Amino acid sequence: MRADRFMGGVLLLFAMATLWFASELRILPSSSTTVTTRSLPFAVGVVIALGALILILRPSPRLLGETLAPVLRPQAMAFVALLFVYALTFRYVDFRFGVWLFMLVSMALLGERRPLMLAIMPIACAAVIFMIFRYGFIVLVPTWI
Amino acid sequence: MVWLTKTRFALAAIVALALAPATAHAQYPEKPVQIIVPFGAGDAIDGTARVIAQLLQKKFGVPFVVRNTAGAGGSVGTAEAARAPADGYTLLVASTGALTARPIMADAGYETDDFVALAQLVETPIAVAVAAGSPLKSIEDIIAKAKDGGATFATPGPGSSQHVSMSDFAASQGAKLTHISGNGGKGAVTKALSGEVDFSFVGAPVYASLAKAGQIRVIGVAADQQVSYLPDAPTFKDQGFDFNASVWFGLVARKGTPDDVLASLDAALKEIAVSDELKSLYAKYSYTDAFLDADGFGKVIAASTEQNKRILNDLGLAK
Amino acid sequence: MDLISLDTLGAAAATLFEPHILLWCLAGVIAGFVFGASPGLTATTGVAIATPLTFGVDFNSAMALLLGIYASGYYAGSIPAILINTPGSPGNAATALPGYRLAQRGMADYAIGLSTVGSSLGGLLSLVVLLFFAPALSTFALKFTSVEYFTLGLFGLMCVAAVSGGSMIKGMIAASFGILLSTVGIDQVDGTTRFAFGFPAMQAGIPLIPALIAFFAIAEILSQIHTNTSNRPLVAQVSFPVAGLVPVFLRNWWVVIQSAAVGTFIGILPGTGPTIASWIAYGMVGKGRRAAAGGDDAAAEHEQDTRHLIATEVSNNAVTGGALVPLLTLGIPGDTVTAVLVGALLIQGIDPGPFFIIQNTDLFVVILGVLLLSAILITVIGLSARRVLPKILAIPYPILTPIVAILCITGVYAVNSSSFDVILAVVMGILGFLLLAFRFPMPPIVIGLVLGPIIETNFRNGLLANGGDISVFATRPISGSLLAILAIILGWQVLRSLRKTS
Repeated sequence: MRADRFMGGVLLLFAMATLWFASELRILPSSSTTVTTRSLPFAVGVVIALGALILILRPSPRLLGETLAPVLRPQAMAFVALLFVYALTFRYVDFRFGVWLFMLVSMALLGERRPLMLAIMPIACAAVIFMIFRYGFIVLVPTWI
Repeated sequence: MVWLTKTRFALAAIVALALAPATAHAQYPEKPVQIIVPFGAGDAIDGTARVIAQLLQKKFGVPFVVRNTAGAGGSVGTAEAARAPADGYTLLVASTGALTARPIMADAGYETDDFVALAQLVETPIAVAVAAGSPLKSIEDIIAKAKDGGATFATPGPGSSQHVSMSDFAASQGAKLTHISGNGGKGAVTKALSGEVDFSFVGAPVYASLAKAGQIRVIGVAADQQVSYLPDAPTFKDQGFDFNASVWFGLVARKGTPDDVLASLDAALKEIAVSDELKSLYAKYSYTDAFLDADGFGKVIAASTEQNKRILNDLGLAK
Repeated sequence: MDLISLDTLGAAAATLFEPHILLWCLAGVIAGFVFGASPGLTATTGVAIATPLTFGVDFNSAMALLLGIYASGYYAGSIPAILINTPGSPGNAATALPGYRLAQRGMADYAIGLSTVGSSLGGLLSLVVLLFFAPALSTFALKFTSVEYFTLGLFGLMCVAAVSGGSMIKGMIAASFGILLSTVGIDQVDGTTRFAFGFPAMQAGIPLIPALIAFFAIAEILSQIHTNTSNRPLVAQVSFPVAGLVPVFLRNWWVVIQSAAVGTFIGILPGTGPTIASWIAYGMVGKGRRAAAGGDDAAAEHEQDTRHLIATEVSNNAVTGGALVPLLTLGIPGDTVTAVLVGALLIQGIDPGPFFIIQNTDLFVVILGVLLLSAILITVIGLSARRVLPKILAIPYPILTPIVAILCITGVYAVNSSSFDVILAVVMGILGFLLLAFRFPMPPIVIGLVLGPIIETNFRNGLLANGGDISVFATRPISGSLLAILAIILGWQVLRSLRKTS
């Protein structure tokens, strides 16, 4: 299957969803003009739908498997998952601990094998980045202590 | 017996240790306190918050950190403060629209009574201004124009106290106005200056320098008395209209914050209220000294909420 | 404009060379450098944090500090944009395209040199405008109503064509997606909430900086994970002599002038800023036609990247002088930093407004002088740091990638101290990663997000203010001329593509 055909299909569904949600938007009784809060989302939904149709009708020769290969590599997916979990837990985890753990796991994941590096870098980064943001930029990052 | 005394003593010590965190409230604050400002850095409200933070820091000896969480006319930061634990370590600078109007208009993520008042810091009257070359000379002229073909006006944003109160005034006069958002107070004044709208309706201090230079004419201050920095500007009352409108902001804390914490903050704020630093700050920003303590501010919040409920229902803006 | 007397000029110049002013300005430039270069923190944050520090300080020192942060903050965001494709500030997003390409070819040193000199030039040229034309231009700024802002927004949208890369269709879809993202949250015209799906935090809309970090930096990090597993060979970085930059700028003098004009002009308009200025300047350079004639593709590409980089960096720094025009003549800030400066001026007991230049000529000259000083300091610091900075690229990939990821996430958090923004940025970054795999260009998404609100609110406000009469967009002179230019360019493009296919 051509990659662009697949994406065109996905985008067409997305455009339909956009149009549906846009039609559900509340219009205030006081607004009088013909151009309302729904107009731009509608217009944009139509443009995306048209673009999607062109992609379906005139796709580039690239195949779907070839396109998705980099996304589906285990290493990439693992890193994506790691990043996602890190973001979800950001609020609840002490910043220094979170940075240390994220650094450690992702360095190992990306191929760092030197034990000294794995021991030092995460701790050093956690300390330095925390100091810079907390005391330099005065950002209150989440902390336990 | 000796053994028993020892055990008793040990037990007492353990109990004391276990209770330690509770009694530690006496020494509030023991870690940095954050003050959420629900607007971007650099607003007048932000400037005031930073001065208050500095004075509180000097008073308590721990950092009071200002945190800007901007968006949606203040309601994003207010929602954030409503989610914080009620321990007195997260305070909010509440503003009229975000605290008392937004929860009526939409699911803002908080209700007005999620917060308890600490102190009102600033209150400014709102005023009507037109470009210097405008044919409109009085409130009467504006009402006449609104009834005859319609008039447009600009405020900092849709659903702001400026927008809501002016719409209410127009309705009471049997006129209808078209509202255009200026995306901030200065933006609204710019729209009046460029002639895009007939008049702007924003906090009176915003006009001070432009009015002095004669580029803009303030034709109605919605307050009982004239303000010192706009000497030529008449009030609504002078022109025979009973209409007052103002915006305020002040410090609030989450409901459920321990009483002793509230008491120590209250004492500190009362001390700051009479300080010279605050006086000179008010003078620089053209603010009327409007410090109110917790009780007074609480009444202001309640009154605003009642008023907004009525007006927003009338205008069809309530959820 | 009334001439500034030589006495005032001399007196002001003398104060500038007092050592403590130099030190304050240096501190400001260094602080601005750090704030500008850190993703998520901008010159605006820097000036806001530094403002309370100026309470007990005299006017000259305060301005030296704050304007130093301002000028250098707008410049420094280009450095991470060039080195790691992560714009330090939204105004440097356009720099990431040519800059990162140059760095990937081992020309990081050259790119930083271009950005440094370009930024200083942009600042200086806008300064000249501020000095001579401030009062005249402020009346021009007042000719811009919603109608004109709308056509200007359309004009800006044109640059999508310049950054779409391979496929115009995909560029258009990406831009539409960006515009759609911009409609999330409270509608600026009537106050209703759109597409918030029950998240209170979404009422504020999709914030720009997290989106920028997501679609540029996070998407790039993720898509590099496949390009290589471990031991990626590092690109050898070549150093480039400072003197070599002179002919480059002389050759492209027209790009410098044009971009400085765009930046200053956009700066003068309240409610816009360096982000819009740099994209428009980028788009105006367009796609070079030298590639076809010369035949040497690599050289032509290099020259094209050079020109785009100069355009973006000259224009975003030219915003500084422009944005001060409405601030000092009307008391209305031209961009977000000058909005913070209003507070700082009030602290000094000065209410910026129509009287400022007339009554406080000496202070006006000090402001100009401090900006000049900042431009010089930026050049000195930037050119001396550019040898060291590319060393960042020598950090092995398994260490650099996690560090960049953490800086991005912490930067996103720092913008609004919002953990929701962090999740939002990562989700958008993953989405960007997928779209990149399908060869969708990222810049149009960001352009759509920036220009969407300008186009929509001003179109609707324009209609509201004119009683629903759509013809005003053509009949008002500035708007009409802009539309005409737009039509000519579009018509010409269509003609050209028709001729190519036939």
